[in-house]
Amino acid sequence: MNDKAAKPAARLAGVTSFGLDDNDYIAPPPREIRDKAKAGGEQLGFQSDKPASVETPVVPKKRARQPSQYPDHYNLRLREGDRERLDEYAYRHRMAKGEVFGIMLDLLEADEQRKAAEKG
Amino acid sequence: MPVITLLSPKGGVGKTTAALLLALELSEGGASVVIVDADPNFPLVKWAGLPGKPENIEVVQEVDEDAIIDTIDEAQKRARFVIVDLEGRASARVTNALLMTHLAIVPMQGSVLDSDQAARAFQSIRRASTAARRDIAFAGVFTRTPASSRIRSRVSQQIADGVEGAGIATLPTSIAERTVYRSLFAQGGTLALLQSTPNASIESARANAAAFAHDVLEALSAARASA
Repeated sequence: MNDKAAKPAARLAGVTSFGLDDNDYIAPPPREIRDKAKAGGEQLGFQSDKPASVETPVVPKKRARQPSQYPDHYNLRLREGDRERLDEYAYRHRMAKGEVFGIMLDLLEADEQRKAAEKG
Repeated sequence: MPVITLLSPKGGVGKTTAALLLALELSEGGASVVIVDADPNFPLVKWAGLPGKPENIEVVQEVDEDAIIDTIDEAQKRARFVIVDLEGRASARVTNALLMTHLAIVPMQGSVLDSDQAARAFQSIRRASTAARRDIAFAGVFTRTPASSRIRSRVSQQIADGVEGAGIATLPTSIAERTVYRSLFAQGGTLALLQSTPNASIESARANAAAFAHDVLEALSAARASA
């Protein structure tokens, strides 16, 4: 018999049950708990070794305004049946669709000018 | 599985010695042990590099305050016991290690300076418990006590009374100041393997270490029962 056998057997009695119990597992805490603990620790002087990250506010990149290539005061809205009406108009007047579209733009332009004159 | 963390904001109180003695006793009982050496001087990594390290003790080093959480997590999945030895300094590494701890042990010597720092350690454990929303069990252990005498100095006794008065549990066994323990770090291996040391000294050291490990297991069982 050696020294190992002579030692009290009950000395490590807690080993078996502890190691086999999955309920003892401590999951890594989420970030908010870590931050809370860190803040609590810092009040007692348990400081972080890492330099505080300087959070630079994200400034949205300003883009120079591009000059409008096309007039932006035309708001065209396609409703149900508009295409058919355009086709019908072009067919009835024996006109090309592009020509009809030009007329439509002329009308819209005249309308815009009238509204602008009323405002001015 | 249980994670036992040794902490104190003060250096030289016997954290590393206590960690090694505990690991050796647990490994001798057949349990696999991972020691997380979180002291930047890596005293336990150095010990592991010397001959005679038991097969069932693994020593990993970790000084990153954020990564220590994952290191402990990995360790608790592969070993029966995880022992975390922290540096003698107040740092966020201590706080994060506590979040992964079942039982925190605060070694303290019988001096006023030590007791002040031990009080800080206990406060930090309480704060970590609050943040983690669970009770982290803790206990103090008197270290580096005179091996030849059981009589405490007046200051030591007052500190012990103060700790008890504050409702802080201390382990019944104190870890004595012994040359044998220092020899472990010089020669490596276990207490049983130490050479050129009188048998009587080794036997008393082993008995002391065994009693300490027994107290730790009792504290773990008590913590588990109250959880």
